[in-house]
Amino acid sequence: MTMMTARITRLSWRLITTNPKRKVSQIKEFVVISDLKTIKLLLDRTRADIVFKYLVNHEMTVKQLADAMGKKPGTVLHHVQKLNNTGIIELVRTRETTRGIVERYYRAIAREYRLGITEMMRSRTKTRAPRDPVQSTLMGLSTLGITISQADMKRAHDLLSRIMEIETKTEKLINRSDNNAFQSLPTSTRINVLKNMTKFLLSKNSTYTKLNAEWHDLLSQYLNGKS
Amino acid sequence: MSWSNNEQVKRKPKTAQGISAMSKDLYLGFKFAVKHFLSYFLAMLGILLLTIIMVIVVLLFVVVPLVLFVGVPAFIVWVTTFSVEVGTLEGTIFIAIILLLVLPILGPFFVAYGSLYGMSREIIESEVTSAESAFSWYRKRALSLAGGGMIHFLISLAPFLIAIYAIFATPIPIPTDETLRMILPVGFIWVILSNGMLSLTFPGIIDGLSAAGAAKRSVRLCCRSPGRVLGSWSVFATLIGVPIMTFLDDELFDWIQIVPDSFLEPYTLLIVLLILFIVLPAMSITFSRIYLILTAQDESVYDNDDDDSEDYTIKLEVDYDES
Repeated sequence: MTMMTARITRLSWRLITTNPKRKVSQIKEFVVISDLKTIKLLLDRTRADIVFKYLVNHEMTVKQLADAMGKKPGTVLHHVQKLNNTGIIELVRTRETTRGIVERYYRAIAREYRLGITEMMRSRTKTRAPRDPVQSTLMGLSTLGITISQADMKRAHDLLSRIMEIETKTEKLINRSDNNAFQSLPTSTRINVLKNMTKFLLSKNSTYTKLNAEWHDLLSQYLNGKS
Repeated sequence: MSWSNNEQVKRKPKTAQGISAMSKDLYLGFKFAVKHFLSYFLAMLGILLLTIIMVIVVLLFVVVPLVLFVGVPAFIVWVTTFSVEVGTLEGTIFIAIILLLVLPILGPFFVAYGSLYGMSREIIESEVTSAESAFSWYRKRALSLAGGGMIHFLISLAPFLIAIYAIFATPIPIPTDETLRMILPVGFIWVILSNGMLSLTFPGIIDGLSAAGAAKRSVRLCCRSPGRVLGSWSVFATLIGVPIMTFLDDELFDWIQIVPDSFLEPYTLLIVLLILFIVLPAMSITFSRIYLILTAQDESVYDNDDDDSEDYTIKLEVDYDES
């Protein structure tokens, strides 16, 4: 970078008050919980209060939590250990007081937690995908009054196969497992974004447009009374 | 673009280091043990009762089905024959039978002792505990605590078990009292050292680790801070071990009798009570404290200073457009 090629637009000072030697990760904006055990853990009122009422806002010790909740420190400690073991909260620092007490400060790993029940149910429900999705789609069209004749079947199968192949490839481009920000979106938002972006990219694909036009022509013929 | 503060002041950590850290651990251990004497006293009485009941239950689980199966007279004959048979057994089978009989009986005692560490963890983290919380730890960590105790037990006795095995399995002569007197100090050092290295096992189990995981971590932490861990352990081993060894009349233990029998004998009851209700709780508090500090340093989440100020860097953020 040289002064000739760069234009400074903003200068800001920031005081970093965290110890640089620490390994503690930054708090995430939100986390989707789809693990059944973790969901069950959070159904307990005390544990839910510990996370959602206190630890999403501040880092706190067991003693502070116990005082705030009016419970025994021993009880709170058991709950905190369970939450820490499942990774919902984390230990951020340990501090020794002048009285010799060793305070462990815990914090939630995210500011907001969302229950990924849809994803959980999807993973639990064993839905069997059809062996030949193209063939089953073509057969399924008959329920709408479009019965593809044996003469057109090969052409229809080829067209639909190529269309589906391009659609799958395009979806895979967007729905990448290494894109953590995208994967951590709520399911409905993620599906909407995926649909929208796939539609846009496909509209820019000339092969897809051509194949789609051919497919629509074929469908139109049947809808206009071809049998 | 960023740089660290050039005028960094080298502040001396206020946290105790080395010998002073060890003495602070011990001081706080005894201070809190005395302060929470009543809680520990009640908890230990309750747990002792529960443990005796547990031992009886464990024995009943073995004895009742046997009695029902073979009948009382046959059972008595079987027990008598068994004890004679065990005496004649040799090598691996002998050791296995002894362990099979001893470990289930010792298990509840390990759990009882381990649950004291639960109370100590509460004290060292929040300065508060109650007698009933020992039962809560007893219930929630029973298996791991029993496992931790067995690891202590087996590792401590490993050389002795190997020695017994060697005596039975190989044609070496059985050691005389004279030879034992020379071998015993080595075994004694092993027991002290191995238990010292495993002294953070129970705090680890209370922290949610498995018995084996806690034992491994204890050894690792001890290797990292041997002075603090083994130093504290030596103090407790001396406080507990010296009176016990003094009370043992066997000539084999004469070499360790630092204090004359006659001096300690009038205070036997007092010493036993002190060990049970002050020294053992103090030990659990001390090691819980050491564990919390060493693990925090291990995970880099330890604040070195007593005050709230932290090491910091001043970062200058510059956003720019490439043109």
